[in-house]
Amino acid sequence: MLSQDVDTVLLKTASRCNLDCSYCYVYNMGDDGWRSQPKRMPAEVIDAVVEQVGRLSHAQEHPLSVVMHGGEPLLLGLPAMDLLVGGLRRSLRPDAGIHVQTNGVLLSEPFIDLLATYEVGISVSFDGPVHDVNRRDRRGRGSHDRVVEAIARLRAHPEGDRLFSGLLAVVDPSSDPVAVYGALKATGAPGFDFLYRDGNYETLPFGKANPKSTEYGDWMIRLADCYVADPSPPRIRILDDLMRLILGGRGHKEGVGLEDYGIIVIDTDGTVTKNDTLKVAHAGGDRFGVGQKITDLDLEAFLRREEVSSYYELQAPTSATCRACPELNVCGGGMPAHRWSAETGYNNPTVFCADQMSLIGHLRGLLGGSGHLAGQFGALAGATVR
Amino acid sequence: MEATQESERLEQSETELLVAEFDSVAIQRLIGEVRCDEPVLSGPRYDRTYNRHNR
Repeated sequence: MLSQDVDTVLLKTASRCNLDCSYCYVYNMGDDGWRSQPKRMPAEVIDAVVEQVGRLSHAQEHPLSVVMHGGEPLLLGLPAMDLLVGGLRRSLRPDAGIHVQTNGVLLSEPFIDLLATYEVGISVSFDGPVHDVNRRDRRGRGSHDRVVEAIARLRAHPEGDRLFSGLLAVVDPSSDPVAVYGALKATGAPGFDFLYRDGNYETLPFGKANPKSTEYGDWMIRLADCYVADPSPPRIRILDDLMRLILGGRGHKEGVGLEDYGIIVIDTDGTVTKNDTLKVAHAGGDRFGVGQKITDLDLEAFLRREEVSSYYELQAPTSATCRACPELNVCGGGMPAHRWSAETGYNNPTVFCADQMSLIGHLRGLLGGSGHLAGQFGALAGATVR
Repeated sequence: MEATQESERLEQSETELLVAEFDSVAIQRLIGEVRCDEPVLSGPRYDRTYNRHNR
């Protein structure tokens, strides 16, 4: 019996990237583990992933999603990608999802054809009007125009609208959220998600003056006002999650709410690791004590190890501030990586605590005041509302 | 059986009344989702892609 079903298997299909984004948590946050990785996932690792992740999907109660990530996942190349996603589609149970998170630069017609063949959802990283501030290639050239072209190519494909899952953007608190919203919406994407710039108590996130300042909360409040006023809004995952939780429903992503999640990462060389975002806390923060490769282990047996249970438990916030907070059920204490300090480890509120409190308070106002709707839903939906 | 159906009809109409309180499309659809307790893998495409991972 696993302590927690796996809901996301993240595959680092390529350890390098064709962009050099200034804020990247893989390359530019102090962890240089990528240097010892092969550039692309080797064939023997692909075979083991197909076999073991497929078997895991059938063994557990809930379906899982496989997400190809990097580096830039399309650097794996067409033939190897065909082997990987074709094999996964055959080995996974039918309700499992396969998806790719790409920077879009290599999203050619042949790649889209291949991904369509195996029902692979496609999400593109795009920051809108401030894209080229941070998302440049190694020659210093911005990637905005190439990404916009790739999105248009995807949308023009016969299967494009079905495959296109959305855009992933990183918040620049000095930008205009209304302009960012407009630019992302203009691509025709069905939904967006927004990430805060990474940081912790040792290295404050970009644009944040101190842990009590609310630059990110202020930005998100302006975005939320724009979103709820839009008569034809796409989806915004982080805002939907927070509002769903305020309404008494469930969150879907890590870092908000208190639901347990199960994320494992398979690195390019096949090493099974914790959530890669833990690199943000400190170098090697995503590694299990004893590195083991998917080619040498039984994945189901590995997931039953005490060390894996301890890793899953890390999501639950431990700080006294969080445990006493009336918004804990909505905020969830933020991502573990953002709680880190050298002195007290993960035993802190998120470094974005003030931002989240400000944002959640504002969203409560939009939803009619604290408890108003959640109370009605509790009465309406009974046990189905958590 | 009939009592259950009647109860479901009442819940449905109360939800519709609640939705009508808001003129925001984004909020209205969230209310509908919370009412249905939709699992992630049958939810919006953006949730299925990212699933839990916040990247």
